[in-house]
Amino acid sequence: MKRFFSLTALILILCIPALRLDAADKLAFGYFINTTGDEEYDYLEEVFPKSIASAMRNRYKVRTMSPNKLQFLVDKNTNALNKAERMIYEDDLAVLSESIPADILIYGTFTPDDNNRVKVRISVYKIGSDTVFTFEDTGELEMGIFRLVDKIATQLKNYIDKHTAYKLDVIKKKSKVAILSNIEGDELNRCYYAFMTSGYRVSPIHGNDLYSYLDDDSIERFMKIEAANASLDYVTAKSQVELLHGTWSGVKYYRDIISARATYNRFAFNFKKSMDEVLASISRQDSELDYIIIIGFNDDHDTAWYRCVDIRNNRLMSFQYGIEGDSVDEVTKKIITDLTSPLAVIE
Amino acid sequence: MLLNNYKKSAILILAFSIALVSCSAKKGVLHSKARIPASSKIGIIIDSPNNLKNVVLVAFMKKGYQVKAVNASDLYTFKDVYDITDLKKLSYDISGDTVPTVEKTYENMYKLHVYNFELSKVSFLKQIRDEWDVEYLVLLDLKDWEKVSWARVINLSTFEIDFIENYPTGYTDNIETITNHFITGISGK
Repeated sequence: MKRFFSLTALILILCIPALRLDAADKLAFGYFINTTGDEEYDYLEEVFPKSIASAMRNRYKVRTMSPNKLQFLVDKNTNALNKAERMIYEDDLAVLSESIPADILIYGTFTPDDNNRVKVRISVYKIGSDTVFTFEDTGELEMGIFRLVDKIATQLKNYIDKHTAYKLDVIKKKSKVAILSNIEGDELNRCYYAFMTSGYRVSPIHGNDLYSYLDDDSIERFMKIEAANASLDYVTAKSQVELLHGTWSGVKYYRDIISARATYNRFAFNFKKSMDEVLASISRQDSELDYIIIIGFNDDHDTAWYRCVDIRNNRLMSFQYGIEGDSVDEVTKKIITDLTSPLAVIE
Repeated sequence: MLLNNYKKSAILILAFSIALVSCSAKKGVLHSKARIPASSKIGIIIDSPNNLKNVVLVAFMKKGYQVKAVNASDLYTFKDVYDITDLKKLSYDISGDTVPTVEKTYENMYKLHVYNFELSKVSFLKQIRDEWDVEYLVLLDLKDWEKVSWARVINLSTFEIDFIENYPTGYTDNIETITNHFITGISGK
């Protein structure tokens, strides 16, 4: 029965008329792997990529490639029953860049639960880049898949477009925000002014200095972000940092290697744990603080990107790139508009 | 002749646009969540020579504020807490190619230092509040004519910014008039 409803939802998606005609990106889809051992849900491994691809194709007029057209997966898939061989890992992405005739690769996993709901984890890789965007979404199985696929398609559209945007939720009214930015002095006051006059409480974090220690270069280090529900991060793989050792390595060398391994583990492979801890510490210092908003302005301070994190649970609320305006005031107002607007396709 | 007229018009439009953008950036702004009573205990952070700093402190004292001795031009030095020793083991050389995992390691290290730095500043602000008995911290930056002077007041009991003002410094302004202007905004009187 579940299969029937899911396939019905898929057919409905296929019938939705196209809304946009100007985009021309080619999206390649990998399989969405069932992370549970319950084979009852295995059929969704193809339903998810096919239904999301259909939604993207019909609504936004992009070209798509299904998983069975990806030569890489065909070559890798020597045993069709082996899930591990259908899975795409970050280690694979560099190889894939050379072999996939597409602009973007989308792949993922899903985890159904006992309450007829399913959590989908979607990864988006712009071929040839060093960045992979991953986000989670949860919805109901059966007819609920239609709504879930619709939301995922909207997120994908906003991310793939020039805006490079994502939205989990809007920020709460009258919430307390801390702003980290590369602007200072009267310009930082202008940014604060926009938030304060919109009803938000502003934390003095970062604004308790006369001068900003974050310059145009250092703020760029905050563009990549890893949170509980989503990440926009470097393609990370242990194979990229080979720490060579053997019988030839002396005690000191070996000690240094162990130390370097610990550093990589902490800052590259398990960084979310460190971020959870530091955000929890900030939250303990100011229990009323709701969000940290990182705003990076360009040299002329007329274009900015932002990332907003819920400090209590390290959830990435939203991000957007390339927000333009005549001044810090206008750019900040546009950021506030985005922070308070529900998920919709950004035109 | 016609071409010259077009050129003149273009130059005038360009000049007008630049002036408009420039005026917009220098436009004053003021937002006050609450009046800061004149009897409040305040600390003042200003980056000026001591003789000028005294003029500012005296102006606040004259209005009845209890000015605490926070003798600093800025509260903290980022270098104090940014420990780069972690970086020394992560040098790599792969013919100019960047390795995403290594880049990520560098960037995350920097991020964590920034967040820890902000945490240490919050602790210091609490120390200023609890041990030095300061209720509000006033940050001031007084600028010359044609530039924008600004003030920011941090409420140390709520850890919120209660007051901000940008004030384009006038031709006839001096350090005393600018300070008095900000005091009027801060005190609401």
